[in-house]
Amino acid sequence: MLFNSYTIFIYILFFVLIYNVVKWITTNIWVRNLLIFFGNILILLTLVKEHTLIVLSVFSVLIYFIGKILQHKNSRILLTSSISIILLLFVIRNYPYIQNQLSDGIFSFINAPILSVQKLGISYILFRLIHFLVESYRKKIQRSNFITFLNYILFFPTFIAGPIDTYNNFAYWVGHERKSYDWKLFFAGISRILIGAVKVVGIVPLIIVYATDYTTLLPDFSAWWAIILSLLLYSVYIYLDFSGYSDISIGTAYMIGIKTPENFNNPYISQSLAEFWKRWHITFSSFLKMYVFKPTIRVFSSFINVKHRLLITILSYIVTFTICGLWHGSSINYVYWGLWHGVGLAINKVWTSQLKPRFAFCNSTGYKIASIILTFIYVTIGFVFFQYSQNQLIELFKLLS
Amino acid sequence: MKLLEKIYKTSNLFKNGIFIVITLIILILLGYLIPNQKPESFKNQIYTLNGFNAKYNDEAEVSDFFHSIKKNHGYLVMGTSETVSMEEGNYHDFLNEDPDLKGIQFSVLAGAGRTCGTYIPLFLHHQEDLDSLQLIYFINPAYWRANLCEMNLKYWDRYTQYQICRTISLTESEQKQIFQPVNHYKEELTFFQKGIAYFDYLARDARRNYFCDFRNQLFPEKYAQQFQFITDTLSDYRSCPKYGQIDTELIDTVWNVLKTFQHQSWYQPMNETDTYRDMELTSFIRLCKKLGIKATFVIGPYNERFIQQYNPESLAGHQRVVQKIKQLLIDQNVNYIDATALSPVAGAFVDHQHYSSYGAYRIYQLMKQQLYEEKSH
Repeated sequence: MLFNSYTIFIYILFFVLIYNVVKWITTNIWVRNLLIFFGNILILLTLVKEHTLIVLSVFSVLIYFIGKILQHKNSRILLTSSISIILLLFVIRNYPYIQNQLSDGIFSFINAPILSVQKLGISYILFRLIHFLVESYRKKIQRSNFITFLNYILFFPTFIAGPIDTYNNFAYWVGHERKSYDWKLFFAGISRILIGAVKVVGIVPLIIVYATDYTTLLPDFSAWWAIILSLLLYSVYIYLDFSGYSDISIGTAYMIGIKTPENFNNPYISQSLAEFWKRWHITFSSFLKMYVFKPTIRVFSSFINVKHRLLITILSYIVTFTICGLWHGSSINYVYWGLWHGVGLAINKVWTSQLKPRFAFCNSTGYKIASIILTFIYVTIGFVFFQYSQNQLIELFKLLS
Repeated sequence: MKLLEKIYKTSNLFKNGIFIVITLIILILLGYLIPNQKPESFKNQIYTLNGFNAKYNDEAEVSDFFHSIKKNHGYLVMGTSETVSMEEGNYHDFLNEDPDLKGIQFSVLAGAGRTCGTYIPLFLHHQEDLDSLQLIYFINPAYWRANLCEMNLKYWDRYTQYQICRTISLTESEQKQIFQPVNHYKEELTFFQKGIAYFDYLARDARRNYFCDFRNQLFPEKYAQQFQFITDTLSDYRSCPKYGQIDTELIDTVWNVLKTFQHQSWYQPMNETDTYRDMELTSFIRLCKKLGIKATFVIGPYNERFIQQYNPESLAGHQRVVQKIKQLLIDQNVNYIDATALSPVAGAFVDHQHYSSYGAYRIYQLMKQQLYEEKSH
């Protein structure tokens, strides 16, 4: 949570006010960029230790220069090796089992104290770094500025949990002078923060206990009803909490004059699982689509006949969402959750491409409503794997049987 | 859904944002027109004071707290982490439940690192309320130890507010005599921290107008409900099977700590050169004298058995520090209870610096003896 303490709230408030006063006084982009940089450092120091911030910054600087090279040279080896190193460091930090396995021999360097950085926000930094490298290689990022890049990586409103911005969008909003629109954004940001606060501080605390632990409902309901109710509340809770957090992040960014992308678009009115992922954690699913799903399709296409396009898509969904599950956490229940969605998307793909066109009733309102309900139920059941560990899941299934 | 999309449009968010800001400004300004809560002068003695009420010097609550003690001829017990609530009861709980001390009740203000200096600003803001208050201050010698012997900004920030310290006017000699610990704290704060503290104070003040004063105007019973009165807190510790007993299941009487604590390496020897704690205690004693507070100081025990097992060479340092504290109290001519005789008692501690419930029981007996004798004479 961005405003997890009163001190951070006051720091952010001070920074936003000072930044806007300076922006009002000077139109110099460099000064503003530098101010954002110092603001990022100051606020992030309240969230992570100096050591973590220094290591992440130094690492980001290295990636910046590699990106610079990629903007001018088509070096696939440089791109692949850089991404591999980023992924290796991410895996080492997030999966203690792998870290223990690799800690002997040539990989013993991974236990070096210098690499012991805190996990907070690290996976989002990873996304931004990979995005910068790949888009530099694809020449979609043709020009980059050092301070803008550092601000992009360390931007405090989106540091902990996104939204994951693109470099070009971030650079556009930082590098342009739009006084009247910035003024509008400033006040729009206040509204967004208020909306987020109502969700996170006003509603979430009312349901969190029941949503995250079905046993709290057991005294009043039978096991089945307690689990069903708890799951329904979990769906509401996770949406309000996450989208509320995104509202606060986006609102804070607005107040600094940066229009970060949206992260949620009414996901529970989705008529299919595919649509759900276009509306839920949008920036993350876009990232998955661009940098995991599409490359996986290409890999499978290289050794499976293209005639079996459906099979390739199904396999790619399962691989992509298994990775998605692993990214969310290192325990096995996240893999189950990823597989649940991968399989669901595969079924959805078969339905929409092979079966749906054969049925006329699929255009009716009744079908649409049923689709929304079915998608919601599927997503809600999936949250069982997301919120409970393997042992808790065994307990839960025992109770149900 | 169209409604949601409409709400999220930048132009609508902008209009709503301006409305929110203007409303907030008006609400904050209107808040200052709400009459402040007045003290109610309760008949029963209040058990403790909410930490925020003390930190931000909420006039009515603090005043009612001190007055309730005085009105009932009770005592205010103050101390650090050892004096906070314990599951099996602390010495003040046993005193409160003692039928022999009928009529005398003990209120508590305590917390980890809440040493006497942190109370100075609050006391100076309530000089009239404190005249003739009976106070017991528990001195834990652990605060003369390395790592703890210096002023701790984190603790001060927890219990005091810079703005409360800043708004006290004293003569130059009073500054030197009683305000040194507070000045020390003020000097430690950076310009930026002071700015944050100032903003924090203003924000709390604006919030208090509605969440305390306005609420109490609407629901007058809410004010009294926020207090815990001693009569409501009594738990009958005396009927517990382990009352006054050493818990040998949990405590290793050789090391004289909890069995789980035995191998902890948190122990630090005494620092005999740093004078901050002496200065803090002296300033507090002078303040008590200036305000007419009837203070009794308790010199707490140290875990002698543990020290002998863990670091026997440092035992002499502990003895010298305790002797120094005793001498300071004698020099200042104040009442004190010496509880250091408990230092070598088996089962009296749970770790290197906190006494056990049995230790609390022994301290209670010691204090009762002194207080009972006082009342009998």
